[in-house]
Amino acid sequence: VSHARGFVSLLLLAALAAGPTGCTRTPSAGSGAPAPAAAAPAPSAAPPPSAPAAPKPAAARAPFSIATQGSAHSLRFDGGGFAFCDKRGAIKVDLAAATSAPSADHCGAPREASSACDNPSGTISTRNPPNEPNDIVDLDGWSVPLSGHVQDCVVEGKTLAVATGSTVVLVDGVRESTKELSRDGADRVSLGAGWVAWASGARIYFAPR
Amino acid sequence: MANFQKHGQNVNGCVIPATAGMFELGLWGPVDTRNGNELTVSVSGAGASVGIKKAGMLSGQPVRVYQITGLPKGKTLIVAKDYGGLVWTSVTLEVSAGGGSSSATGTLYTKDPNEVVTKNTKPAIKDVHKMVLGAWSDLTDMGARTLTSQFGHETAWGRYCFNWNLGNVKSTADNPHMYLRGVWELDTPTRAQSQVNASNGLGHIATADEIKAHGWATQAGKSIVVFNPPHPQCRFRAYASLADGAQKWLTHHKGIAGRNANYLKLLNAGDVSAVAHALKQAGYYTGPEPAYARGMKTAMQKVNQELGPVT
Repeated sequence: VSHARGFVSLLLLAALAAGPTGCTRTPSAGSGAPAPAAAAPAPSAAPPPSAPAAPKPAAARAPFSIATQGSAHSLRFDGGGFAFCDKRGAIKVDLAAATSAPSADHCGAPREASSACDNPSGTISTRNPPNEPNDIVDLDGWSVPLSGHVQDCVVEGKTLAVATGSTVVLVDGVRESTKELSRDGADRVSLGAGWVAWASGARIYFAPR
Repeated sequence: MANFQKHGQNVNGCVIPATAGMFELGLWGPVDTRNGNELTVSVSGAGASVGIKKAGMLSGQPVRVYQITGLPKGKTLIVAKDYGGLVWTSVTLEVSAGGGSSSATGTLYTKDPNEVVTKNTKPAIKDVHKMVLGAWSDLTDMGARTLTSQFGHETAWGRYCFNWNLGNVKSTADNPHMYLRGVWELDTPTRAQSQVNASNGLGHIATADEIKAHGWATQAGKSIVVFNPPHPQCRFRAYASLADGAQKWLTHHKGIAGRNANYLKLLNAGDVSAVAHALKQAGYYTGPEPAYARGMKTAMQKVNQELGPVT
């Protein structure tokens, strides 16, 4: 498994530089990301109050995290945004602003996490070799040894987001490469256009794909 | 370090169902390496009617097989002691009024219609070879022998094979599945506790005694979480037959051949060391390559012994 500590760190710095913009935004430092390996570019000056809102592509793509009340479930990227459920009910997240707010959506019972990490066609499956503490994901002749057992997994074609007890990994089955997003593990994971999200304890972390 | 095993699972300290007839039990690590003496297995307390016969070692495994007969109904504690009388491992065998069960657990853990009872499934070498040969037309007799050896090494000739699941493939609840005990994981203490809290009582932090008894590898600053059935981490696919279970295993090997043009040649050449290397390159296993190659070589000798001259 290749590690992308610098990747997470660099984007984390960008998030910190952008400053808090919403009610629940906090930096992703809680994910245990190591210290930044390189300096990030300085943030651009904020527009004057009278100016129309300018797009914030750099800030919008920076990793961030939000607090939840208890453990989160039903994580899903939806129509350019993100939604989940926790003790409060349904919550929506504005990915561009990195803020969260209650929504009127219905929250059902939490679905069981996908610890088997497979796909219906059977080209992707997960093994736990006898007496081993770690799982191995098999993708059509290529295998990805993981650290720990799969807690949750999302399969999108040949791209997988996998959360184990001690890591969160993005697997690119086409390029046969992996990117470690966290070394803290997670309970739930979700994959969206341009984003990966994972819930660990009472936080949800977001990182660009 | 030693522990009693049944169907490949460490059963130290457990109560397991047994049969009043002949019941086989494994003892992993049967030798006291301090003096080279083998541990003595006996019934703890009264048990005059119980016969314990030392059988052979499992091929390629540090496991001594014991054949136990005459178990009375109810519970019987079996212990393995060293020369000084110190108990290294123990297990309680329970014979029910119905005579016990041949499965690993004998019971279902849930009411899910997709759950099946966990049963050890030990295919014969010739059956694996025949099935492999029939399912992959590019393989020669030798190629099928090489893959049969890989199966033998990976599953300790079926010791770790339950319900024809050849690679311990995990399962969702909506597929036919079984539960296996002894699933463990290394986590940070915080994360480990969080897993236990979320386990609905099906997970616990391993104690020092438990870690020692199972021989689990520890890491500084990490805790071991143990999951118990019917936790989803203990859920594995259950297949109806060898051919059914082998499909996924073979598909994966075909996939490796699709990525590595030499793989098929290596299989058909019977070059187990090179096959072990190719499997390592493909990420198939995480252990040391020399040990895997040695294991495959030993398994290949057994296959050739069983099947006779290559055709």
